[in-house]
Amino acid sequence: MTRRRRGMAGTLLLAAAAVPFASGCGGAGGAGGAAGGSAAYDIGLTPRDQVRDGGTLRLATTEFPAQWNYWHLGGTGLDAARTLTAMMPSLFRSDQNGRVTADPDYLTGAGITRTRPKQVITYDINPKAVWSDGTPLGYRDFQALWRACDGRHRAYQITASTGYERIESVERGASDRQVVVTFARPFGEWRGLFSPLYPAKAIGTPAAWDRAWVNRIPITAGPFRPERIDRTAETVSVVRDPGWWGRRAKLDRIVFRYLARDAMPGAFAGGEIDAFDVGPDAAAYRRAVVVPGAVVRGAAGPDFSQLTFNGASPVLAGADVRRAVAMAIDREAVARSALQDLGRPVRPLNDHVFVNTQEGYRDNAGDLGRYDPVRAGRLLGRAGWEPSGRIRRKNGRPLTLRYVYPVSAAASRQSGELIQAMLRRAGMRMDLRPVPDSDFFDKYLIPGDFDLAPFSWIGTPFPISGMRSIYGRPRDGDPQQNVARIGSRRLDAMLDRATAALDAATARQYANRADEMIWDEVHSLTLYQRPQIVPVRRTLVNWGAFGLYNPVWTDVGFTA
Amino acid sequence: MAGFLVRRVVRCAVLVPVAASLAYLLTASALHPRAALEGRGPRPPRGSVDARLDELNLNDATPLPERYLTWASGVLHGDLGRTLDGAPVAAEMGRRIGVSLRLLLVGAVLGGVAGVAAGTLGAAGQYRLLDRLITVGALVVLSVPVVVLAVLLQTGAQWVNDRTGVRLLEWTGEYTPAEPGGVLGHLGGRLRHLVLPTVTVALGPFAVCGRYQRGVMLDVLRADFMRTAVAKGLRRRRALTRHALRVAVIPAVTFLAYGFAAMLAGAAFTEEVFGWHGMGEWLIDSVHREDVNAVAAYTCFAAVLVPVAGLLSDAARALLDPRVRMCGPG
Amino acid sequence: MIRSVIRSVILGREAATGLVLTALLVVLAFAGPYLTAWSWADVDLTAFREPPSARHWLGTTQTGRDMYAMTLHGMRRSLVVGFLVAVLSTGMAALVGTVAGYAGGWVDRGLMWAVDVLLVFPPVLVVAIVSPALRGGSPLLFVLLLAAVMWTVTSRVVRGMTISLRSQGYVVAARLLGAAPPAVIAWHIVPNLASLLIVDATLNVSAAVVGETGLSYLGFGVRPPDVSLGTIIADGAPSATAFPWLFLPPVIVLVLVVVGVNLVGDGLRDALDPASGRSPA
Repeated sequence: MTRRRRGMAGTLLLAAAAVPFASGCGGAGGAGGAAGGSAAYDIGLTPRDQVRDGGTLRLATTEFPAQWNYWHLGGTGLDAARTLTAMMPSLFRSDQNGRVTADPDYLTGAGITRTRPKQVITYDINPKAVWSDGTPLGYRDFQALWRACDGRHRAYQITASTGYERIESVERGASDRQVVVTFARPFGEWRGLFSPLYPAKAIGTPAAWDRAWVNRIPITAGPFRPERIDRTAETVSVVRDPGWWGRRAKLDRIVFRYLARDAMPGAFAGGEIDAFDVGPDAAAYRRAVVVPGAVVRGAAGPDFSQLTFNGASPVLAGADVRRAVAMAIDREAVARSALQDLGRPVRPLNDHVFVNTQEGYRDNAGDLGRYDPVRAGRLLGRAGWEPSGRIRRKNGRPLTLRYVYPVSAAASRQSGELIQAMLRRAGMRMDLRPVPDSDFFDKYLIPGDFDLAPFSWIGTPFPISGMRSIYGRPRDGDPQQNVARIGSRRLDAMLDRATAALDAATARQYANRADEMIWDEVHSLTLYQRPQIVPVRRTLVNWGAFGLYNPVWTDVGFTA
Repeated sequence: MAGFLVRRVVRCAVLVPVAASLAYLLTASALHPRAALEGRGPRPPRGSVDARLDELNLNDATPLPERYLTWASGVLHGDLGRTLDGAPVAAEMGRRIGVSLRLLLVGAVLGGVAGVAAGTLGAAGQYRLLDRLITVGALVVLSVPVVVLAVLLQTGAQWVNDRTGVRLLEWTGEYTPAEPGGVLGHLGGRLRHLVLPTVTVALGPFAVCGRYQRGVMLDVLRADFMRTAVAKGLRRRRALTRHALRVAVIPAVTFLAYGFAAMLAGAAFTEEVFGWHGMGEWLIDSVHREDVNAVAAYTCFAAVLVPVAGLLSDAARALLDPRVRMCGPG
Repeated sequence: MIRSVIRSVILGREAATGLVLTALLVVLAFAGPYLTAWSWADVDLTAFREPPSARHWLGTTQTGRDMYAMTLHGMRRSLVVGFLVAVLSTGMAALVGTVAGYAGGWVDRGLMWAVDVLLVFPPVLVVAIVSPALRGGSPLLFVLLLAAVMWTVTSRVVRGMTISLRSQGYVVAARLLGAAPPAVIAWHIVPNLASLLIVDATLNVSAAVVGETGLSYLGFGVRPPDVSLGTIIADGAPSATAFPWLFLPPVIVLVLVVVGVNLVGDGLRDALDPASGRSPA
């Protein structure tokens, strides 16, 4: 969950499901024209024939892992995963609106071949696809990954089993290059599975799982292959792979360089990296825009920040009080403060599942979407909290809320200062409680020692399968990720239907109906969609703010 | 001198294991690697987390003494364990010590020497303009965060590069990765990358050593033996360098020696803003990641470093202070 | 002697300037807030990160808080913390260093051993270890913790100098005349270390103000939305070039405070000239 520590000026980011490998890093786009002026992606899209052949692209990353097995418990985070996408197969690609299609370099076809009695998916692997050691990609690779990740084998230290635990079997089809996957329980977002694919040879045993990918990337199958992992400079360089069967990559070499966020603006100004993500840092943005030969690409990001209510806390147990808190918060002002000087449009987000620009986005907020302190006051009065002095009281007890946030999350603190002032006006007292980053979840959110908790969810093209663990009722006393402890049987049923729906449009419809219920129970208040702002060298094309779009590594390059 | 060294080594031999053990026990009880693993989203399966913790000797279900024994016996065999992401700690630390030394050594020594010189000048011309300027400069340096100093230097360097049209100065990392060019070109690249961090690193010791040096120097200049020396006909300048500086420099040397040890830990901000990956960054990251083995290894390193700094400063005192030799231990 | 020191401190040009400067800053810290309608805790939802203006004299932060009011509020807090920590940590260094250096033998070895052990543990780690136990504790605890991580190196220097001084003629003489060790230390050793200790205390003021941020960072110390000079400086540092009004006011105030203290220190040092400290007047 934690991206990287203090350098990150933003909020804490959480992934609902295992973050799909191919999620790029992006925002969602203009589906349905919801973007409100912010593009779905902005990458300097340029036809291949106008891209110069050759060149070295130098990128900054925010982490430098030792473990390059993506699926390993000690494995890579989001940013290092992007490095892997240049080398490892991801079977599907997402466009800027989160629409997912098979990548023809790896799959000639993939689809649901049966739904009754069980969901069966058949994958046809591109016959040209081979691992760098000469082994063809095949069903054994699928089998090995499923066995490791299905959660039944303790010897494999895995990061998540979402989706894989529903699989009943992975078998050879008509040939080694056809894979037949049978699900015990249906799983709508099956396209998110098996990416990145790893070679069975190098992950097939628990020992290889643990050790074969530490400080090295032994086998690959992508447009680039590893050249050098320099642990002193913390850089990974990759070069064009002559064995690649797809379209030839334009770039000769890509250097991924680990840098603290503080170092990135300076590195960009000094000409040592070609692009970086400014995050929510207006000062970094200011510093980057004045660099000669630079251009800023910006899009609506896929991540969104939100405020989770603790439904088990005595003060917030009633939905009306939660509703009053939500209405007393001017979300537009919170977003305006956070996005000040970043040159991005400001608008609150009104959907828990899809971001403003994603296909499927719908404004489900209803009354809660409007800042209405007067009505907030009425609701509080009705719930027994009467004004007495500056703070409302009920049976003599003052209305006090604990706003718990990780101490290094500056954006959370800033939102907190604003929300504190807003709630004060409505007669509520809110204390800011910074806690050590690593304690935030374990010691505060999971045990329920908070009233309001701000953090961000990572948006992905596969938002639905993770919803059950966030909005479903706690099972066997384990709240899972539903730290709000709010839920209903009706909502659970709707979430199950959405997860199991195999038709994408139907799944989105169910997901939005679930979202209406989530707004109605006031589980959490979505605040704003985080923008993605990427200064790049003007000559760098097919790279920038990706939204949900996956980079096409073979087309990235320079125009001059 | 030989006896002095032997006593020192013995003291070190006791200090290091005690401090290291204490460090491990404190670290292992204060940090929670389980929380770091379970905090990932979505929450990983419990069995998976337990297996990982067991493998790394970090499982809080194992009693602490048992974990300590496993760790200590590993350390005796030169095995400092593995980091949370599975890399051997010893190799990682070795590499980072090298990075930190390359980053800090030149800067710290230069800064210390410049500070001593500035402090001496300031004391010799107390309350003159130069003294005032040095004083205010040092106080400003100590009040402004390193990150800001570094950014200002980078902006200045950018200006120099633009004016000259040559990339004279670079400031990200130790060298440009995957840069073509032979050994000489590589060396040149390293030099270009070293200038700015060195200046940044030097500012702290310059300010601190300078302040102490000035204070102590003022005292020494008024001390009996200095008056005697001047009275005996030594020229002021000669007395200043021969006698006063020798004695007055001792505190500065001590501060520099310990300061350097502390810098190896505390240079995290300098390292980060210049993109070097040394010990300071490692400590902060490891504490943040709840990585017990890495933090314990770091502390072992500090446990070796501190007595060495003590040794250096005592040796400097023995060599420089005429009073120690003249009168012998009283 | 004490009276003469006081007189020369007051009459000395250095010290007088320093005292006046410090006094002005203290007055500003306590009276300044009444000059503006904004309180440090106010949030102006119509002015996010705006440069200085007639409405907000020193501009506003990203959350619309008034920099002028915040800086003065932070100053009040940091002045107290800075002075307390400086006095405590320098005092501790002087005590431990002189005792170890003067006594020698096992006292010396034991004390220096303890200092070494403390030096081994990086402050980051020490604070990370103890802060869960002390979180939410009183501000005094927090001052003690800051002082505790700052005195060690100075105590080693003091010890070294004490060993040198111990063999000086006048110290030997005092001892032979039957002066008790505490008296020798107080009247003959410490005055000769005055310069070092004064410099140390001066530097500790700024170190404490800046170092306090590190503690706040670990969820200890200043709790938001409360601020200190250190936390304002740390928050403003990344914006120092882009939005200078977020950074310059607290830094300028801090530099002025330290310059003031330094001037007083210089004056005090001149008044305590070791030549006069040699004979217990």
